[in-house]
Amino acid sequence: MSRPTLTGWWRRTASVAMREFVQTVFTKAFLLSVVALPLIGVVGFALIPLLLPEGPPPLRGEIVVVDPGEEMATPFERRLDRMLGDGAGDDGTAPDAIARFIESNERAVLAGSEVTVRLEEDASRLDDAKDQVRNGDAVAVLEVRRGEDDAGAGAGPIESWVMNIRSDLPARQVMLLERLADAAAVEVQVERAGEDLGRLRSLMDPPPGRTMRLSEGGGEAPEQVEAKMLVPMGFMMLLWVSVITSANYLLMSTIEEKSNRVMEVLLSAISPMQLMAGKILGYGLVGAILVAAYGGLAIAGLAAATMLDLVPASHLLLFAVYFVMAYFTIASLLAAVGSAVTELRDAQSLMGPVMLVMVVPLILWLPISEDPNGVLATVASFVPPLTPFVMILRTTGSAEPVAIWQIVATILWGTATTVGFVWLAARIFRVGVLMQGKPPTPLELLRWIRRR
Amino acid sequence: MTTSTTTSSIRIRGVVKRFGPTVAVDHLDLEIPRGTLCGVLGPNGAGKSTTIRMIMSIIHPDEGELEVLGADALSAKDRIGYLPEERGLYRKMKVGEFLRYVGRLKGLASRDARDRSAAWLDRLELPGVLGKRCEELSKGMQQKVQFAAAVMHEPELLILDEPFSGLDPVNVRTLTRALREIHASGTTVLFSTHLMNQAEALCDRIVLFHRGRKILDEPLASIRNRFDPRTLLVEPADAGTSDRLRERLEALEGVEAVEFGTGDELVLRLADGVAPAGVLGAAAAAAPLRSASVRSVSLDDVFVDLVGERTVPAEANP
Repeated sequence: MSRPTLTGWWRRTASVAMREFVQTVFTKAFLLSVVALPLIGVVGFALIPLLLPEGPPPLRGEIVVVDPGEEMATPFERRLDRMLGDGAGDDGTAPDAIARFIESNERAVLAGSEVTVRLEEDASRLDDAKDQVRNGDAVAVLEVRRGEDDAGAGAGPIESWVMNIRSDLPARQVMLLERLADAAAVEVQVERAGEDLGRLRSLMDPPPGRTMRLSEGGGEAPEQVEAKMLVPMGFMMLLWVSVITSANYLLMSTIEEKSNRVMEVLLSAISPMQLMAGKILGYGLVGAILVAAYGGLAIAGLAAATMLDLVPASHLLLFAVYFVMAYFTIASLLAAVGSAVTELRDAQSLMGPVMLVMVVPLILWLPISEDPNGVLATVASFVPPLTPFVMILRTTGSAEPVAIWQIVATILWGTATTVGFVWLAARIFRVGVLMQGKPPTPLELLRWIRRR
Repeated sequence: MTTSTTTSSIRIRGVVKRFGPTVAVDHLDLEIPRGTLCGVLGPNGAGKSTTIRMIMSIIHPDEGELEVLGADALSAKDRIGYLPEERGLYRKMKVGEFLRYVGRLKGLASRDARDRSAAWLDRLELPGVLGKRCEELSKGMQQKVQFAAAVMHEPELLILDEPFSGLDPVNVRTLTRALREIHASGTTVLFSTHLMNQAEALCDRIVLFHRGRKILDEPLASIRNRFDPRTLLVEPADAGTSDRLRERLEALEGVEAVEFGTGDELVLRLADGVAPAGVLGAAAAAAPLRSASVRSVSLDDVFVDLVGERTVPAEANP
């Protein structure tokens, strides 16, 4: 009497896994929705700067500054010259990377332009200047309107300015000229007040500061709000989406095999346990593809923003552990649901409790991110099947590291409960796959679990 | 492929299977010798499919023992071919992929599965469907694809649950021919049907189920000998004289009843213990006859004899 060998058992299980993987992944729908879209996103992100037009056509001509007070033209010209330059002589005063990025884009707006600034002190020549603009002889006329002061009309403080532009001037260039006019006007106002703009700017700049989170154990770590709130959410959503999507594929496949009656053909060749194991492994690979696609996209984004330090290798390792844990739990539960019904609509009622549980991590995101080592977070870490979702929130977001014993304990506990869920699901699966007709009641499911 | 040396392909002892309060199979003892082509018959709900599913270890008995090919059923799966009653294919899967997949699950190497898929499709007169999706095939073609999936790994035991249901006569002939060839190569074949005439045409052994119990388990020849033929078919020499002939035949000793058959044919039912040969002679003497014969006992007659009711309405038999 020959017993099936372990190798034979796994070979057949692997055949099931491979079929499920191939039949899911190598379809146009999957490739388009799951792989192509993120890839298009990545490629598009990289190519957008190349695909965009190089900038508006270069400006040629002069900008007439009509200013009876004669103060506005110089600061305006200085700023314009800076924009017309290549930035090589940039003094680096832009406060941060974002400001430098904006300034670089603004330079691109005027790339190749040759613009001069001419001061017109006589306000009565305004209409002539406007005609120059209309005729195409000038790019724009900046009319500076002033109030009265002791020196007489037109010598007072700037009340407003009007930029008269050529009808075909592109919006991006208009916006830039407006910003330069604003900045120049501010400089004039500051100097009229007897202050130095550079000094005021330096006074307004906040000194470097940071927040340190002090732990009860004597440790201290820099507080990173972005990391604390967004990175864990990113990890959790990646876990959630990949697990739900791949487990849902498994559910649909099981229901299909029941509804089209191919189940009995399969069970004449392999055991229900082999079938379930093969399905779980096959769709686990599908989940891994999803993680690689979406996770890779996220990491590429972080790398582009030079924020890769927010995702250390330890986070990725823990993610892998929690993904396996979460996937096996949810996939086995949905396999059980799929085995118990013959049609998708029948699955809705049985899916309810599973989906309810799956919503909990989304609700817990905010409170756990606020207090990753609090009582709620700690307790929730030990509540199956929430363990992997809660722990990924805690371990990737906590400024103060989660205690090692908690990580180890939750991995052990999570693994044990995962095995328990898989066992329960397998008990239901082996009975459910052969059942036809109306879906079982919860009481019947219990009977299936206890059946010999 | 390992070959067991036991003389029985299937050995079932005291098997009981219940579904809730319903006893689907009730203390079944069954032994199918190797090399048999055995028909499992009975009306719907008699327990045929449940027994087959237990043999396939798809479901397990509540009581009793079951041995298939000298092993427990689970261990023998690779040596059994199975065509379930409920036909099923992956709709979107290509025929070739489906057959290769089932072949691999049955322990075939990928190359063998591929070669045998093509060979069996040709044999079943399904050339050119390897690359088609299963949903593109007609119902009959799908059924033949499933038959190929059941036999491509050259099983020692082939179990077919209602293999001919829904097939047109041409496909029935194709499948029957394949079945005979497989049996001739030494494979034990067990197939269930509720159509008695198919079993009579194919099987050398018959197992009859009724309400979860086995009520008959014998070689076909033995059944025909055991159940006395008590029906004669008589046709008058002159057309249109059936009425007069009927009156004369009813008067013969040993004739219980005379009914009209098809055309001018008359059907004589004999009383228990009456020798058909004597009545045939008396009938021939009573009037000129075109033909007179003893009708062979049908399995349906046997069933009626055993349980006092017909298996299926007579008109359902093709």
